Amino acid sequence: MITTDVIVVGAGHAGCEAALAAARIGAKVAMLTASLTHIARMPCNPSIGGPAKAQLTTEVDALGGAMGRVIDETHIHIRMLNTRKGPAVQALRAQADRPVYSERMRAEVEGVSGITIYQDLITDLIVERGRVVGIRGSNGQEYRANGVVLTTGTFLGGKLFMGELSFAGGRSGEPAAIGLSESMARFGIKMGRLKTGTTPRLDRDTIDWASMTEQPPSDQPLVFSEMSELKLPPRQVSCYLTHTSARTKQVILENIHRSPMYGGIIEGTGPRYCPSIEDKMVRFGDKESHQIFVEPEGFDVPDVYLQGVSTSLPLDVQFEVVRSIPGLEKAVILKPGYAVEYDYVEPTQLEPTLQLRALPGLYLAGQINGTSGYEEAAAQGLLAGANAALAAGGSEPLILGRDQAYLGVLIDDLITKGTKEPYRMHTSRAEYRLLLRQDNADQRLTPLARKIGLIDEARWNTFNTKLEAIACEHRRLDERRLKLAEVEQFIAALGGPIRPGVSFTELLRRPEIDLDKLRETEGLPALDPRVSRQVEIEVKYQGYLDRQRQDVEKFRKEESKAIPEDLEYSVIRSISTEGREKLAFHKPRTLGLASRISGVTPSDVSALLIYLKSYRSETADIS
Amino acid sequence: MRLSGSKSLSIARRLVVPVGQGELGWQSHQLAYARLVDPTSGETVDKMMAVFMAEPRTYTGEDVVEFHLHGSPVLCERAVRLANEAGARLATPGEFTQRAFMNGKLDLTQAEAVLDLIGSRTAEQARLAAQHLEGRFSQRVAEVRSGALAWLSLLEAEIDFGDEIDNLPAEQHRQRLDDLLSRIEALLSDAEQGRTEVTGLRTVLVGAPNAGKSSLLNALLKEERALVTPVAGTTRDRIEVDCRIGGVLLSLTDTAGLRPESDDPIELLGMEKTREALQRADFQVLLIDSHQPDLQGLENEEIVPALILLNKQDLGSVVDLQELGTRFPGAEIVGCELLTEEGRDQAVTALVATAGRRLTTRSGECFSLNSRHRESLLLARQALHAVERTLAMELGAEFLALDLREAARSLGEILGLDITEEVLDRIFGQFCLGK
Repeated sequence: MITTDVIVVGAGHAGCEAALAAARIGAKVAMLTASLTHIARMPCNPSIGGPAKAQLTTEVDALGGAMGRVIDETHIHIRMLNTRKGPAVQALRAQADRPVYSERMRAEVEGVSGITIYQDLITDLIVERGRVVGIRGSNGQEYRANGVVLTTGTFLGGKLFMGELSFAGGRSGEPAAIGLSESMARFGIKMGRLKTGTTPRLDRDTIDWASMTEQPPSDQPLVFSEMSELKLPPRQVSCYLTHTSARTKQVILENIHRSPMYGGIIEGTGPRYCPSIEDKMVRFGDKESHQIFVEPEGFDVPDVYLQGVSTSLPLDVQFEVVRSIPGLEKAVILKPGYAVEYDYVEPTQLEPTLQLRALPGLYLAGQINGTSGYEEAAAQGLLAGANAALAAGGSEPLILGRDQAYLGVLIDDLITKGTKEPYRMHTSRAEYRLLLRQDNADQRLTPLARKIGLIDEARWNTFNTKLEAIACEHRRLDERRLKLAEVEQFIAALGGPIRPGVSFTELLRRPEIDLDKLRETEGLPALDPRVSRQVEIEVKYQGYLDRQRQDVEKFRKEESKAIPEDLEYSVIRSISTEGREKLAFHKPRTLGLASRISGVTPSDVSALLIYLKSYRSETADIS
Repeated sequence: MRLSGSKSLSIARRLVVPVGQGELGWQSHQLAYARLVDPTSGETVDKMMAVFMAEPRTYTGEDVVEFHLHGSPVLCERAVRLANEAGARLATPGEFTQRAFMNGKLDLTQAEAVLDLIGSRTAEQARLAAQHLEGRFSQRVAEVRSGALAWLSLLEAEIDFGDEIDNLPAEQHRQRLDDLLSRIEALLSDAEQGRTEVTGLRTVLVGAPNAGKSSLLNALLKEERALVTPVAGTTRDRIEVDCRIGGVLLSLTDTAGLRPESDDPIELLGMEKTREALQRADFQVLLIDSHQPDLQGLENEEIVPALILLNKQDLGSVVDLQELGTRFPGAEIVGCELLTEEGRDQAVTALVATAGRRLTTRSGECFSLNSRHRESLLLARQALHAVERTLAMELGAEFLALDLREAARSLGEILGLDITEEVLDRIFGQFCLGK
């Protein structure tokens, strides 16, 4: 028997951050993986970031996680998306060097003395007096701990599909975790089934790169992590853009009956935002052509990822499809695309700590909660791991609100609404989007993380130095007024009419003036770009940011209205039957939470509110 | 008379006996012919139809007993007193509706419409509230909201799938914005129309002292066959009267004459009231003594008359019509002599005709809006104006989305799709909760 503080099952993006976070807080961690070498792999698109996902990545970083630092060191291509829009929706996106990322993350986990990695498969949970106290491994080995974090990815009851073929497996060539789902179901946990897919990988030497549109990486230094040095990487590669042809459509439609999805073999629901190429042809049949992004998977590996061609068609059809695409006429498939179907736990059964309500001691993160994406997984893993460790140490849990982080939005959505498709983060899900930016994740989360032991001395010092520099520059800009003697010089440098006596904050508010230019005109050196960016955003968008901060205040007020834990919903007849059932199941702790539960209507919420306010005492009088 | 609540039947049993022999069955939802008796004396108060309706299939969702008595107020009062003595208490205003809501029989919007119906003073108001309940207003709000959401979803798609979707061109934004704004304006103007139908066109008679305002008022009231409600003004210097002339409901205010050089504190207070009335007016009628016009005296007043009556034509007019037209563009100018009967008729006809024109609607529909709905519409419009400013600043989709979402939220609030506690507080202020 192995005894430890926290067990983490799985070594993907969720598992790694879970183990690292738990260990940082001081817990002894046992990490289980099917293969010691399979750590932080990227079985789908080897990229990190993009709208909303970049924000999640910087939040992981701000909470002391590893993903941001590791991708900064191991990418082969990085650029900023949405550059024509404002800072809140600009998003970094990096192509990882797939095998190098994996190795680098493995080194990160192996380098922590509190984490021991075991090669084993989980077969069952050990539950004593209603609490999960450990797990059983495949050879009968028992692991015991205060908390268990499950990050099983697509391995839980995983089944792979390619055309007429199907076999059990969590990933191409890797066995599935069988038995655990049944074990969970035995404890009354509601399970569901989801589907996702991936694309064929091509040999880079067989692609006609010249015939496609090049997407060069950024020529500016860009990083995710506050701890990474802001400098241009020594080497980057381009990605490429092509599109489907009329022939592509024809091939797919002629063979649609051979797709397991359309043949009715796959039961799970796939993601709407990432449809298979079959889906695109059937559901958006009137569209002439679809974009395809051709992305190298590393400096030293031959495989190239084909974003936009997720498919479970048989190999011979995949071959035809690939060759119908301009630039890929002679391409060789190294690894075919496939669909994977897997079990997930209906996430409405979770608490905001990611602990299962029905099985205390058991925490879930990543695809097992119905989400999709490395960033979504990593962020949940970090929170679940931290909470397992905090609970083991008898400390208060880490809970994030919708107003604090994309991770807060994600968890709140999952536990109040559940999901019917693999859940992916979008910026439109975040009501307070203008405040939840990739550039201020540290200001939002690092102080919180510091309190619970997730932030080391070095990061804390870096953070405080930056914070002071920002405050200092704001003070200076507020106090500094343009002198009469300077007016001419400033008009010459910055243009436009400028009155003497105007404050520098006012000057900076003008769209055409940036802080570097302003300081240069004053004869001052440029600030650290991380500092000047914060100052500029705060000054230039102040009106909009203040508006959102007011909204947050209102939200917090609603959020803080507590609902008694023992509330008997069945007697509140003004609430609809469905609403009563949902509320009784979720037992929301606040009115705000109650209002977001799916199936609970605004009328239900108003009825609940009135009941809480006054009616309860009145009914008591009557009866 | 209606009893509602768990004790309804036991109270009714004490008051109701069958007309003939035997027992009253009290079958749910079945009318029974019975006698209402005074339980202490055994005296029969009335013969009537009574019905017991078991919960939950009742208006309030509770056990209900209804007594269909003969329509004498004395009888009803006695029945209520008897029920009271038997253990019932008088319902507070709107309480049955409140209970219906609490028991899940009505949703919020329906409950509100019922409250409006109960609260309506006139048949006209009731008709508009009923129209509201029918949902034409909701339907139009829903259309505007769905227009806003459609635009919003394009913006969101542009943000989250920026590398796959092209940005919407600026003129498209402009078009969508104009469309939404004009629909909200139309709703507000139809609602304004509804209000004037219900409460009357707020008509203010204004002018220098002695210009003939009171003569006109008297002329109108003499003409008026059905005086609705004369209300004493809050000061002695202002008189408010509702009257219906030629199918137009006017809520008339006769004001203290405006005389800027006055330093009499009482007169100054009266003029302050006049200015207030002017601000709230739908229809301003300016009276001028055409023999001794004192236009300078009105120079600093914010008067926007729709009708100008030039009184005392018989004494010889010295009014410069051109100057008057420039000073009050858009005003109808009519000469009259309020001292003669013919002149009074002329003035009244002109006033009614101008008032009628002010009531012409844009869409032919009108709504009676409660203040919550009106406020939500105004908030939505305000949010759209913010979108307009953002658009002019050429900021990104996420900034447009911020206020557009707010507009959609405000519209959704009218439809009960998004209820915050603030809104609830306002709504349930009407229900007299928390007693």
